[in-house]
Amino acid sequence: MDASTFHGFAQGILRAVGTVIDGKPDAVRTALTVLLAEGHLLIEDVPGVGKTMLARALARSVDGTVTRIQFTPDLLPSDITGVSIFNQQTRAFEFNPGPVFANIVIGDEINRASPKTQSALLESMEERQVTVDGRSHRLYSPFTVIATQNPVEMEGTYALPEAQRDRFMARISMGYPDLTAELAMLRDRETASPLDALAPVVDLPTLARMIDYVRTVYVSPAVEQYAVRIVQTTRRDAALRLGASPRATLQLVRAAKAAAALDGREFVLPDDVDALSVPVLAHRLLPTGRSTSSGTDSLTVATEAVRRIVAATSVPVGAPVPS
Amino acid sequence: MSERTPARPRVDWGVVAAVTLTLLVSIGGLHTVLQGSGWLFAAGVTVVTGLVASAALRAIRVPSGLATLGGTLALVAVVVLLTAPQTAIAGLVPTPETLERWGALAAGARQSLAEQSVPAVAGPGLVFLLVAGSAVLAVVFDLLAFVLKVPALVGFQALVLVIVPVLFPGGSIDPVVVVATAAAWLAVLVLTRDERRRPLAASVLGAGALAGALALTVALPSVPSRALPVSGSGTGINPVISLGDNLRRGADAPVLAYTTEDGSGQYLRMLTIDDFSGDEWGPSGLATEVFEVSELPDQAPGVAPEVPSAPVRTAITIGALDTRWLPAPYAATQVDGLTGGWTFEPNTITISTGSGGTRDQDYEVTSLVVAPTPDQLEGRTTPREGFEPYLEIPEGLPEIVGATARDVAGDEGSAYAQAIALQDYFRVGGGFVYSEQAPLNGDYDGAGIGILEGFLQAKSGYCTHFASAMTLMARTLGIPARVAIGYLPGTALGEGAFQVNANDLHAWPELYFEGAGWVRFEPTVSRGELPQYAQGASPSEPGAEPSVPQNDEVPSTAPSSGATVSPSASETPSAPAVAGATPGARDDESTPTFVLAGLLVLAFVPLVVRRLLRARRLAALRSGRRGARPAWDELVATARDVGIDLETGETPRAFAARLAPRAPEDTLDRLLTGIERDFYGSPAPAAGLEGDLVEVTQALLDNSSPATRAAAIAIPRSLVGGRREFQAPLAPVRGG
Repeated sequence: MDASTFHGFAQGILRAVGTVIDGKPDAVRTALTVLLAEGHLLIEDVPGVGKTMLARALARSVDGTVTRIQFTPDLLPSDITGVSIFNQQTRAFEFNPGPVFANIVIGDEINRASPKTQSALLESMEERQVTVDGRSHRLYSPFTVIATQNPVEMEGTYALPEAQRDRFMARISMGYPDLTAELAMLRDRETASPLDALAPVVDLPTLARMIDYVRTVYVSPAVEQYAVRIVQTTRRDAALRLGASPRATLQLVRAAKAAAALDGREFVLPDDVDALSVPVLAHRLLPTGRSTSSGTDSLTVATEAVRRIVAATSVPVGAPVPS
Repeated sequence: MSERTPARPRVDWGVVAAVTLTLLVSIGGLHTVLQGSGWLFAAGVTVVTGLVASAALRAIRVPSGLATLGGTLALVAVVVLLTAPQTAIAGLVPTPETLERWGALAAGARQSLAEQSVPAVAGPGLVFLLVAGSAVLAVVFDLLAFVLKVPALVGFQALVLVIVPVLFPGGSIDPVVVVATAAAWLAVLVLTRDERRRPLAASVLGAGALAGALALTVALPSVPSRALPVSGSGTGINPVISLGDNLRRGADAPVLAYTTEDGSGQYLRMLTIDDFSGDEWGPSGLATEVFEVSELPDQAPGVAPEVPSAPVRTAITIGALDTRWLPAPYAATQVDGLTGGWTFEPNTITISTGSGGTRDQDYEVTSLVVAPTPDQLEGRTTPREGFEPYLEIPEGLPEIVGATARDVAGDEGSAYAQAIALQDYFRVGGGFVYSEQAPLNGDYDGAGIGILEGFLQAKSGYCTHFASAMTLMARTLGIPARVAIGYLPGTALGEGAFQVNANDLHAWPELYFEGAGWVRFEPTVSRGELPQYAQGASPSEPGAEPSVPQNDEVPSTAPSSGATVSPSASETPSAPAVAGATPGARDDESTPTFVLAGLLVLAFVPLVVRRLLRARRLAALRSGRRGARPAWDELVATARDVGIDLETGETPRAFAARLAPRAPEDTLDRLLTGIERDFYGSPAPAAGLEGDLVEVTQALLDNSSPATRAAAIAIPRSLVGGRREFQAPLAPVRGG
């Protein structure tokens, strides 16, 4: 696969999802970036702005297996991973895979489930396998979790601990649609569900090849250093209690590669890093108590901190000298 | 990936015109040191011919270098035509004879430069020098602007030209010319589009020119100013012209000191001027025979025994003064203690040397002070035979000289009375004032009988004017007359010692009376001292001290400025006091001139440094050694020049987005992609960015306001401040 083929497929997916999600190209683009970078996506926003719709549209545009888990307080870990059941005929335990066995797993309202259940999903996200009754079962590949959650201030929610938020490559929020987008949505949804009309754009092998292609996108030492500098600065920032992890660096660069490929470029620009720094880094950061005491919620503080750090980090220029 | 910008017309006539104008205007700056305008016309014809000829050749698609060669040939032809047409084939093609003629002209120019002081008359020699120099400059300008394609650098050559006048003592830089040259050069800069070729070679040339200009500026204060009327031992030196300059220069550095036995001050005479024809006055060819100084006669020439004369011994010590004429009181009968070979000329008792000079001489002169009484002079006739050179009325003597002489003295009964009448006319009755500056302002400075008309009308001048006017008026009345040049008695130091300063330089007329010989008069208002005999046959008390009321006539409050009858040298007027602030004005002006010249050069430093940086970046870009980094640096610098600063943390793409409104979109995109690919893409040589870079940076300038553009060129902001990006890490490159 080369850059232009990739670009063609990617544009197809973006167009298809765009027919369902009106006026949110950035969110759609970030979601696809995460998918192509083999990451997991956290969509966080108030109910009713299309979080689930985005997840489902993205899943549907790819011709893979898609499962959807509605998280509730009484959901058990085995409801996600699957259970071993004794088969009377074969007289042996057989593994009955849970919904996590799919290419795209949509986890709705993940913060409504108990921490125990949440961690079952989050562990499988990281390990890309589940272990039931001492036996490990590999998950599908490609495997992406698109989780939605309501803001933590809502009733009946268990906020994801920071260690678990770290598993998500990126966090986006949808935001309310603007006037025209909302009007368009009204007209479209009255007659038929656009989601039903959405046909898969790429099949599974193509998606796998696209993901393989993203791995080959070139990251120059200059850009690597740029990303590292940004991440390291978050660990020193006065407004932040917890900075981003090394895993964040890795995921920032990986996401940037996917973004570059989405643009039809075979190398990463500092601009790609800049554009992804807030979605990739902000949800991993913990503001200090003082910086949130004025009523600003922690995510806003973290977002502003990331923006400030990116603006203050100088961009390396000049080609490295080949050794 | 880079497409060259569309081919331009081979000749941009606007640039040709601007370059020609720059050269012309800067040559015009010489007007402060050259008189008239003929030379400017000649230089103008030369410059226009050369530059237009080569441009025309380029217009018909002759290769650029060949076109310069063609222009050079045209220049040779025009130089021949202007300077030595009669020696050339068809007036254009030089022959060996032409070269000889040029050699003679060049020698003449050298001599003219040595003899004349500014503003000089542009004789054939100087015109040749000027025309030839203009031709060389035209070739240099042509090479710079159209072969090396760096028209901007002609400014430095023009700058050097503009500075040239201050190389001459008394020369000055005309601010109008500076501004006009700068304007013409800016026109060149604004009209120029393409300088991607050979910027390095041209920069070296330009830097060399600048270094030369700087060196000149530094060297200028050390150019020795000739504080002397005559210098060296050159022939045909014109002391009259430089006299005015020396007076104006107001150097009161001591030039010599002397003591006399009797404590009297002495006029120290050096030479006489009797030939007033032509532009340059000088001693006539009368002095054909010279004798060893030891053979000086015991008697003053033409003095009858009954006329009283007393010997005076004067011990003279000369310091820095270096001329071939020996200052000595008139009439010397014996000179002791001189080193070197000295001779005298019997008619004038002018003592001179053919080798060496007066510097550091220490000698003693015995002279006869001839003191005829007015009565003795009254009866004297004036001879004609043998004195024809001293009676010669030069051709073209203004009518006013003879007419004034007749008006003033025509009715007097004797030659002596006529002489006194003339002297009184200048000193007392005519309403004359002493001024060293007025002749300069009134354009009747220098020599040549033409100046007398201006002097007699303006009634303002200095000793040269008074002395030469009285001399020629006396001649029209039939009295043999000549001008003596030397020093006033100077300042008495007491006990018979005197100090003579450079501004004591003086000129006075000497008139010949049968039996009395050459008699000194003092027509210069407010200067010098009147000999007793020259005080006029005052009706009442000859020999008393008539109060000559010229102090009322002279716009001076200097108490000593009166021409007192007392021979006491302590009364010697002080020239600066008389002349008010005029003497020394030149020196005061020249300091700001140097400062101005220095500032002018300094003002161009940012521009030059910026151009050199740009040239270096373009060269580095072409070499490919540093990838696209030079392109990025130049882009950021140019943007900063026009007021767009790279922000901290701004990526090349974000920066380019801000430049987009001011630059051609496609080219900017190409340039940006090239830069990004080089910086962040897998290693691959960046190529072809130069054309895009030149186009984008030019567009940035073009799309700025004229003021911003001018500032970007003259005082580029990019030279200071700006964000320092960190260089990319030198880590090994992965992947390859």
